[in-house]
Amino acid sequence: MDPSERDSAVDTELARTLAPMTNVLVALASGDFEARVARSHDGGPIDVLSFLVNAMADEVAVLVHDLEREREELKATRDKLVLAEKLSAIGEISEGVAHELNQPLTVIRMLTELLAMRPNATIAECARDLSLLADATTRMTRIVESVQTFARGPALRRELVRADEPLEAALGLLETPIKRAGIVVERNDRDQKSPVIAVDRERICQVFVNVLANACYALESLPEARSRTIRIATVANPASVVFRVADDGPGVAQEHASKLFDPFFTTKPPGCGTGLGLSVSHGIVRDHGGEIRYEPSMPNGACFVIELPRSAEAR
Amino acid sequence: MSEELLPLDVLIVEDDPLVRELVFRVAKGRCRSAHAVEDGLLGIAALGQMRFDLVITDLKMPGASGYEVAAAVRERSQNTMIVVMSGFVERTDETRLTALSARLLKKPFGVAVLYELLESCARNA
Repeated sequence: MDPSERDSAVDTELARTLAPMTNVLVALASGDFEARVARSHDGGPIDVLSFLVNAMADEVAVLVHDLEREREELKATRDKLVLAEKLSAIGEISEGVAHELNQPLTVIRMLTELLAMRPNATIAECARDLSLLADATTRMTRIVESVQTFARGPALRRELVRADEPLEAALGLLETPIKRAGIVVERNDRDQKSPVIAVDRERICQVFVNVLANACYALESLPEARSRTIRIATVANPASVVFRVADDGPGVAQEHASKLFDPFFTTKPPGCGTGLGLSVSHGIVRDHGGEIRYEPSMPNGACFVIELPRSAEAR
Repeated sequence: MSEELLPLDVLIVEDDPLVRELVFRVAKGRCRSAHAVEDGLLGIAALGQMRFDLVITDLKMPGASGYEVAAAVRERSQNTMIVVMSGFVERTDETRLTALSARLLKKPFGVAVLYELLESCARNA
């Protein structure tokens, strides 16, 4: 037997001797943690090695079992946390809805009872109360609509539009209040070719309406003599389009800035806002994979930055 | 109304203009005098100007909350009755109201409830 033949024979013998252990190690590696080596119990070196492999397999089995249990516990905890978060959001929303709806409901109940106490009054005599009743129902309708929009899922109807289209549409919708308040709208995008983005035109229009309506509201509070300006700047980056809508109104108090996008947060007096506009806008922009944030506008006023990604096919 | 006016001077503190107007209308028609203001701070200021038998206040208001109005009432008088209107009873701190001997009036409420409330306050005045 030459040396190479001898080596090969030793290798074969060794492989045969070690095969039971090799098989168990392969089984363990592929996830069978029950696999064990059948021992000879003769106390020889192979038996000792088999014992050690089995001991390791026992240890691995215990560790894997513990890991699985911990992973299940972690999942249960995470599910509980998600549920708690959902419940807390529902609680917050229902508190807001209850508060907002109970005001007009009180008005409706009191007015109808007061009207019922005047059975001989003419319609003309009751005209003001009847118009207040109508106002209360309008207010309730607006709250219900806001909640529906808020609750609506992320099913967007995306289409390719020029980036300035939803903005133009929003400015068109707000033309009357903007003119009435003597607001000047300055834009930097008049001469540029607007990039194309894949968005839900109506939803993005809704975002601009909410942001612009807030700007109008802020500017209306200024003294008559002050100039009232909304500045809209559009910047097309390679990956996104950034819109900045800034007003030179009183701005947002520092303590309110972090709550701006919370549902039902409003600084407007009762009946003037549901506190859902920016929260809904935040949801819409997020569903588009974009971002909306507030920045103070220098030297005064508020600025909302809306960043929408440019889709691959639209780029 | 042919009935005699209840011997109550009432202060109404409510930021919602319609609710304020209606509660004021009912109180004015039934009580010796009624006064209405539009936020918590004005409510607290009004306490310094005259003595009220009854203060009806909203809970969630700009400036100062209904709790703060109620506390200001109690600082001045143990006899003035306090009614707190709340649209979300689950989040209302009833312990705090009890400590201030304030009653809770759950929104939405009607005129009949308000009449009953005014009459019961007049009996206790």
